[in-house]
Amino acid sequence: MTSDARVADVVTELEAAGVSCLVMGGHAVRFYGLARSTLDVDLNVAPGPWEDLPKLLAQTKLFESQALVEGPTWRPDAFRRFRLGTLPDGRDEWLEFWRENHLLAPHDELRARAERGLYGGRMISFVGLEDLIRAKETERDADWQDIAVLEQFLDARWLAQARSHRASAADALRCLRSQAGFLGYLDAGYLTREHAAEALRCTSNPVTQSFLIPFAPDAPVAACLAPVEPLVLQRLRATAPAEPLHLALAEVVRRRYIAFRKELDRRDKDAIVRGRLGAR
Amino acid sequence: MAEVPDSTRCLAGGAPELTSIITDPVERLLLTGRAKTVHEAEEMYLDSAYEEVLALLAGPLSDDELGRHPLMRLYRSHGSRPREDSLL
Repeated sequence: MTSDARVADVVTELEAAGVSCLVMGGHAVRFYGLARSTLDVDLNVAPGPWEDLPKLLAQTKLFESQALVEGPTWRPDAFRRFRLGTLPDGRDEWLEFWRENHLLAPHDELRARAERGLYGGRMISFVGLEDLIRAKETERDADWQDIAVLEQFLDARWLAQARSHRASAADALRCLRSQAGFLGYLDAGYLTREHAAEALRCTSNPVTQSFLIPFAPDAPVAACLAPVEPLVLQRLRATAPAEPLHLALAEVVRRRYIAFRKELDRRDKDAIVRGRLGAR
Repeated sequence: MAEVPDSTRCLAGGAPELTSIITDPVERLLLTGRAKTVHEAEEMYLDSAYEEVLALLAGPLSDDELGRHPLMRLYRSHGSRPREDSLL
């Protein structure tokens, strides 16, 4: 059985047992188009059955012929893992459940934005692409390498929607994240003052803002997710759009955003570790 | 055994005589062994060059001059995969 089919099996069994779950992690990355090897099955689950997960799992076919073994976790209220089997190379295969963390919206929200698609021969649900990107904003470099590609997928999708009139240009531009996406919108003629101003009113991502501000330097900008140095902001408002300096500044802002997010993730983990040590 | 040229000894040992005369930060990262590839060295440099960016922005250079500055060109070139490799 392929790993994709294995995931489809797991999700189907869990849903049959009444566990609402969405695929995230490496398999979701694969679903959205980035070829990537992954060992574990990562799922976001509704908070309801959290305490009963072992009982529910034990009733599924997944554990018909093996004992249910729960692995150690350092944040048991948010993350649990169960041994699913043994990989061909002898390592354990884990089924991992996230109920919540600082990078995930509540399950109901994620469910409302989820995408359902064919994977491993069955229709299963994945966290939406924007939510997946958000969930990967961790301190790990590997996650940011995934994000760099996923953001191009996101831009390509929104650009296609704008081109086919399934989304307004401003709606599409509010999600703009990559230089490749920026150049695509530029070629397509969507980067007008009017569209940029409208998008700036509702995007809080500093990378998106840095791409759009030179097109509408006087437009009001939504509160930003991460601090941007006034000197950089001032130059973005003064520089000609799509010129070399503009693209360089957008990359400067992107790197600052990554550093900011990595630091937030580190602090979140530190706080949990300190909390656990304090509780002992 | 063939005599090892002085320059090779310097490279192998990361001798201070050589690294001290290299002013390019990317080359320094490579020669000191802190980065294994040019790409990795450029990434490390860009992640640490924010103060340099702020100093440049506060300086007298025009937008055109800033856009042509090697550091800004490097930022721009790392902003995305090459266009011809793009999905868009």
